[in-house]
Amino acid sequence: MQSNKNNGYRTHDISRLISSYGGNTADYIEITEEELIKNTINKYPLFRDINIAKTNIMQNIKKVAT
Amino acid sequence: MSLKRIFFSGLKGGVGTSSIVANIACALKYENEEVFAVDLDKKNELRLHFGMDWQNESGWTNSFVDQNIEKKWTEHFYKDSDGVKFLPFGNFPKMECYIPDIIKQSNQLSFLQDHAWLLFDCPSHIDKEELPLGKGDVLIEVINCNPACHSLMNVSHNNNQSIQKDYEHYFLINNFNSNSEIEVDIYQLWRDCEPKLAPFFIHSDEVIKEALAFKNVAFNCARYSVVIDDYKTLISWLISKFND
Repeated sequence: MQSNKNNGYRTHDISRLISSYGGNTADYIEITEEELIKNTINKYPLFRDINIAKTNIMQNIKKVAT
Repeated sequence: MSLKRIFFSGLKGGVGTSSIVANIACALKYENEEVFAVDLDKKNELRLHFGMDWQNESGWTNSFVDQNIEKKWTEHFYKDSDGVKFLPFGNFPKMECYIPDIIKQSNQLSFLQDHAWLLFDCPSHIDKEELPLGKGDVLIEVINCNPACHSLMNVSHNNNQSIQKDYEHYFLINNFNSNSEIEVDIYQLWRDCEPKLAPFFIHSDEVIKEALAFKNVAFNCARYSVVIDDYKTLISWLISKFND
């Protein structure tokens, strides 16, 4: 597992946090931080909008740069 | 009865003014009232509560950038799925100097019916005394039960003691947490010493944050939540004010 240098959390810590909500070891979920962020963004329409807009901006910057 | 104009403004930033305006607009619409919500705040956030796309930043300020090309400001109204008509601020913050013009002109809009409600989401940083409010208008300053607002309310008192106002002016507590000792203490203090305090408050509720994440208002996300009861109390109070 890779540590996340941005916010100080480790993927392992977050997956343990998620499993604790289930209250059952059978529900233990291994999830990467990338998947976790993606799930959170997709859960809320406003965050989805913002993410799409940011992706478009980044793509336009790349186009200009190339 | 003429147009009902209500101006909501935070005593300071971040007290939850836009969410109140959006939810009250929706609540009034559910009561079959004709409602128009106008965003006068350059943060341009009100539109998000009505499901507008995050990337679409157009609004009334766009028409002041180049008056020859753009549409008139009155042509920037949108309608949400509940039937609330709302006017976003737009993406030209410097055009906030036109706010007094918008308020003045709003009284003479041909498409507004006599009994329509016009709700304004005003920015916290502008001087409310500078706004061209008149007889029959209601200004509601939104506050949170915290020491910062207590301090600001007293500054506001000292500055405005001698000013005679034609409009009605109230303070409304938002995000009230009854489990907090300091909030209960401040509320009791205000209830005894602040005559302009509205006789109820809006509770803190998770649904407000969740509703915005879903680009919606609390009314459409959790109709039986505590905060919805508070909003219903607020609109009953407002309706009674205009019927007096």
